[in-house]
Amino acid sequence: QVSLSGLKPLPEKVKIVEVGPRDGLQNEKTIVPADVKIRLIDMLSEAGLPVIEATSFVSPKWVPQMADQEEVMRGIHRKPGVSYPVLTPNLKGYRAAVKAGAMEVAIFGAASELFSKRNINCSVEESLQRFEEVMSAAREEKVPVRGYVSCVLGCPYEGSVSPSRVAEVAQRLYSMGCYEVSLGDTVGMGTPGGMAAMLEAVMREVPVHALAVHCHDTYGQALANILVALQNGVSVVDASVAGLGGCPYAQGASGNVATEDVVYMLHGLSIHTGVDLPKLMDAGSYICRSLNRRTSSKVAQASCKL
Amino acid sequence: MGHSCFPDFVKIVEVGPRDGLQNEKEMVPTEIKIQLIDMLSQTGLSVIEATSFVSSKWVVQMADHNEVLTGINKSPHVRYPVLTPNIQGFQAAVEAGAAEVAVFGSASETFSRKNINCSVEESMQRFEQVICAARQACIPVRGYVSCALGCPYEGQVHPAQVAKRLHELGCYEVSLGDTTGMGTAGSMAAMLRAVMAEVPIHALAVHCHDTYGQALANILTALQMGVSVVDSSVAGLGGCPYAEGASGNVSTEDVVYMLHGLGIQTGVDLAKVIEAGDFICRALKRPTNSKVSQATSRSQPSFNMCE
Repeated sequence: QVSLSGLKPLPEKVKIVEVGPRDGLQNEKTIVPADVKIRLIDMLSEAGLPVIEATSFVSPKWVPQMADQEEVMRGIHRKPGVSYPVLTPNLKGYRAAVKAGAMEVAIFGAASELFSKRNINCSVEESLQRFEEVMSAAREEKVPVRGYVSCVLGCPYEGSVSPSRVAEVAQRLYSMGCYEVSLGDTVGMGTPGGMAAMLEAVMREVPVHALAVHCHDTYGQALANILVALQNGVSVVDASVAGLGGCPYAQGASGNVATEDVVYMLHGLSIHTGVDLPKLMDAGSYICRSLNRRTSSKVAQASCKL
Repeated sequence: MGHSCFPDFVKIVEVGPRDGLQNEKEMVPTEIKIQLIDMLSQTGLSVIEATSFVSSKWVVQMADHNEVLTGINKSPHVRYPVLTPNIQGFQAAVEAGAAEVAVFGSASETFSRKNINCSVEESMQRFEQVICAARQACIPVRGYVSCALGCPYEGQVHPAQVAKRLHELGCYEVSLGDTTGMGTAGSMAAMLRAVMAEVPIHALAVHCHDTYGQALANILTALQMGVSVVDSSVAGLGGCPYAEGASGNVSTEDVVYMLHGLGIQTGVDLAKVIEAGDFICRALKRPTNSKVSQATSRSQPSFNMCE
């Protein structure tokens, strides 16, 4: 493996967690019918992605895009070896998810109090307590739970967020039983120095194999931030096909990093992902046509015309 | 832990007015070019590539090179290099008041032939003439190596020898260009290791294209290896001539945002660069390619982007 400038060698393998069908579509204005979501997920399964976040069991009155959650869960072809986690903000959502066939769930904490209050209407502590309920039930039923921490490199309301605060929340989620904690740069304002400092703090509390990064590309920093995370031993990266999902805090700005661009970088670094890039790009073109929007992936923009 | 040592200061070489505009379809009137350069001169940028003394029959956008170079308000803190592909271009540039010039080599034979209609060796001979004349006139020369991370025709190429030649001929700095943007952090590291064996690191710059979204990661890698000069283009001007509709140059705004976030000084006022970018995009009637610019023009809470 390439060891960049004397730092630890890069991981040989990186697991990509594809969040397009959930995080991506959730932040797209155009509502997409269930059959299109199902087709997208099936295409992503064929592209070799090992984890595809399928939908969200939040109340449809908050997130209308995810109102067809049950239909989607029932309609997808589950490829053996691929997991299809779903978001469950509380026990009620968890129960509905399991009933609909979910075999893995995800919960979302925040490193910023203001963000927690404005986003889910309660404090960080209150949200962690709700999650304890979900964790209990999941533990009994042997359903793995993934934890997310929002605002790890800054908050749209609070501004800068201390790495120690991020570490605290990550540690809580991990010790509660989350098998993995995904650290999200929710507004994309982070830069590589901030990423390194934040990871340094978090890695004192949570082992690196249980960490993932979820970078937004709102300021164009995502790939550089992901690269630094890899240099620090992180080997799980969240991304969204075609860069679906704009930024809710900066109208018209981009949001999620594009899976195609991440895979291009990883393969260029000889890192194994198991992903078939041309098939991934097919999935990206498909969903962009359905949404009637241009891809946010630069690889996709470049490749279709050369 | 986890950090490598970054340079304290990075010099940004702004190529928007030349490399950027040269690759934009829309013809830009002379006074707009002048106003763009004048705005950029107020941002703290210390090097702004102003124009190109190539034959106007090849590069129509640069036909007004004389008027641009004589029309701009030259700041005492800024240098304004211009491209000079051959001795005629050099002489015209000097006559128009150029105090620094640049020559463009290629790491790929096929690219050289297709782009400037001669072999790499022939181009080196032309540059030698320019560099000789420049030395006599005490004019510094910057060298560029195209296709440093891959060629649209030949695939993988080996830029170290071309970089070495340009440096030995007398270029004070050699800018290594990822012309198609296809490079990744791995190929950037490998290329720099090879070039650094031939050219001292303080004389190297990277010129990354963002066609595959890899530019900032590639620049980061270069910084980690000790490179401290980065080329970029305001608003990411200049599409990719090899992939229609795809992006080209990396945006100065996005580079500066990353550098400042890393605690690296640039001397550049990001807000003023964004303004210059907005200006030229309005004139070109096209949206900016800079993500920082897209985000800051519409974000509700305002972030502190100061150095």
